[in-house]
Amino acid sequence: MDDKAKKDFFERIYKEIFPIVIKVSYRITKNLDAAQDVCQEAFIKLYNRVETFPEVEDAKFWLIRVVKNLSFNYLEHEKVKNRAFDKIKHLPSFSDDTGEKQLLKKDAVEKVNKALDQLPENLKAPLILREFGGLNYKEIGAALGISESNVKIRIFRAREALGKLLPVGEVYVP
Amino acid sequence: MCPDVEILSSFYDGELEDSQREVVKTHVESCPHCQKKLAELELISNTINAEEEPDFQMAQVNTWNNLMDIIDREEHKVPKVNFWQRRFQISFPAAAALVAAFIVVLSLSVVSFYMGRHTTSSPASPELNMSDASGTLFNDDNLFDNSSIEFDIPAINTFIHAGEPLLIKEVDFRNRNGNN
Repeated sequence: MDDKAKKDFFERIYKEIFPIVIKVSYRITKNLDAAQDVCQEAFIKLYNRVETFPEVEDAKFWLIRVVKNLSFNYLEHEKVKNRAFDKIKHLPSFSDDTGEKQLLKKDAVEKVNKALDQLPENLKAPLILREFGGLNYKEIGAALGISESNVKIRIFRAREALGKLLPVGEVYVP
Repeated sequence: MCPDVEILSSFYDGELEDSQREVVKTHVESCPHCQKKLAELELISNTINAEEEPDFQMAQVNTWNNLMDIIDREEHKVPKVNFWQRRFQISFPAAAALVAAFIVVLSLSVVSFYMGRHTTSSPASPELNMSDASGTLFNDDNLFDNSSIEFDIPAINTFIHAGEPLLIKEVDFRNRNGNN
């Protein structure tokens, strides 16, 4: 693969996969700058070995796995760093809504984030890939290196846990 | 009989096979309990997605530009090479001149070495330490400047050649005079 072909293939992968991995990383790190850094690092890793992936799909699953791992690593690092501080300070701000609606929305997001934080990584990762990455069970399994039936169980358990942590009717849904 | 919530979760995600999906769909349409469960799954999903998303489009453009900068820098970076692993380029005439110079220097060295071995009669140094009859060292810088050198041998029987072992010379002296 010459330089031009390599760059073209890399660009194709980037255009197709970046919108997925940035969302996944953002939902894990809850920080857009961190998510961008994570994705950038993952794509550099990919560029250095792009020839080893015969198809975009192969690169896609590898990349999602790398982004997921880097994002959780970042999260762990941040947790250690900011143990003494309130985690909520990382939540994004709101711009459109005002007044009571904004407060309700902010409260809902805080509750959701807290609930997601309480999920173990093995449940949180498949749920995020499903809800925010828009991947199907087969793709999630390929990205995480687990079977499809395992994905099905983990997503169900994650939802079940969230259902207990976010009682229906107590959280505002826009 | 109601399907398991795990199956409802897969049904909600559209992950059931066609035959199973139809069965569950038919059941849910007539089961308020399963409808409620599905509504809860939807609510959880909507709650998770309630958070506004930042501008991912801008992030995509910025990250791509950063990546291209990094890749360009990496590709144009001159790799660091250890001094002993470096390759030096030298033109053919310069190399030939170096070899010729080396041969000339080597030849001169060999010639001068052999010439040096066959010219031992020449004075090694203008400074020569000598000793007189009583063994006192003296230095005569003008020793080789004189056309002739005169030595006064002492007129005594116990004369000893300077610089030679005392014991041997005494024996020699006795033999010369017929004394054993």
